[in-house]
Amino acid sequence: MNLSSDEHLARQAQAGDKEAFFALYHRYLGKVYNRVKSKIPDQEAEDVTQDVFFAVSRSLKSYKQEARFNTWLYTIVNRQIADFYRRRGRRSNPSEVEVDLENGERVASSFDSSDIDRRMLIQRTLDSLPDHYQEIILMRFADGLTFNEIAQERDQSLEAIKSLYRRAIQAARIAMNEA
Amino acid sequence: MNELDDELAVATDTLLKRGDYPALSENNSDLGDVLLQLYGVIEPNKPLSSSFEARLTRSLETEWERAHAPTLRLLDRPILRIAGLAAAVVLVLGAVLVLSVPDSSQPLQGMAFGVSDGVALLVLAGVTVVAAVYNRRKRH
Repeated sequence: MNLSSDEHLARQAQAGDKEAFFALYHRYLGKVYNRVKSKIPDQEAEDVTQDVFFAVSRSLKSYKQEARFNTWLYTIVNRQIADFYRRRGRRSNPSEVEVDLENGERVASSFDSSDIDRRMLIQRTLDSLPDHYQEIILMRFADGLTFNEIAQERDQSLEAIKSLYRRAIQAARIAMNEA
Repeated sequence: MNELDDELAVATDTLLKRGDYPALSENNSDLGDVLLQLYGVIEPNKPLSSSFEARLTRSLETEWERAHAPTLRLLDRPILRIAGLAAAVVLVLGAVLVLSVPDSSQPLQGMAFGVSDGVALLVLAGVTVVAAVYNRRKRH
């Protein structure tokens, strides 16, 4: 079962095959979680990951076989991340941050504030990059694909992929310095 | 340029495998810190919490079973649901009409028309059956 292509499993899952759905789920759980962690505060990443798979389960019927399954899945990931920030934007006081009135500083309730600030800076930086830069960084770091696998997936030469990757890291450095 | 691309790719591979990377040449040295920052945020080698995975798997299984549970096929068709609802409304109106007609055992006062008690009971039984079917559908 695990050797079946994503698209084949998705087709079976659309037909009601529970085993196929859960094979896809186990195949992508770690990758989705890593992608979510790259953009969402750590303590909320599990909830958003759960939302992603519930959304996948509910909208599986809308998946069209012409598209790659992981492209469709990562679109759902991005939508859930956007929804998270939309919901959070409505809240006036984010739950993970409290105000220390005595010192007049914002402090994290159970996390080191400098660590949270650093993580948020990296997450914002990553989010500010053009999509093709974000994607290659996430494919290597979050999905764990080798540069060879990325080249195959994107139907590009290994040299082109490595060059694109270096440009993406350079862009991230510039964005971090500007932040 | 190719050597710099290769060097950064090797440094990334090493970082993801071992958690650190070899010294980079001058032209890449300022990119090493970016790699470390990304690695620190995404933490690709940190295993998923097993309790979270078990909880999510259970929830998804429940959701899958609920979404794929067999349903009362007849009432799945919208047209039949609408027809059923219309029939229920007609029956209720009929019941109201029948119950509002004066008892035929009373002395007649002017012209009267009515339905027998048997018909009234039949109408009420119809309403009960429709309500029961809807209730069953709701529970499913």
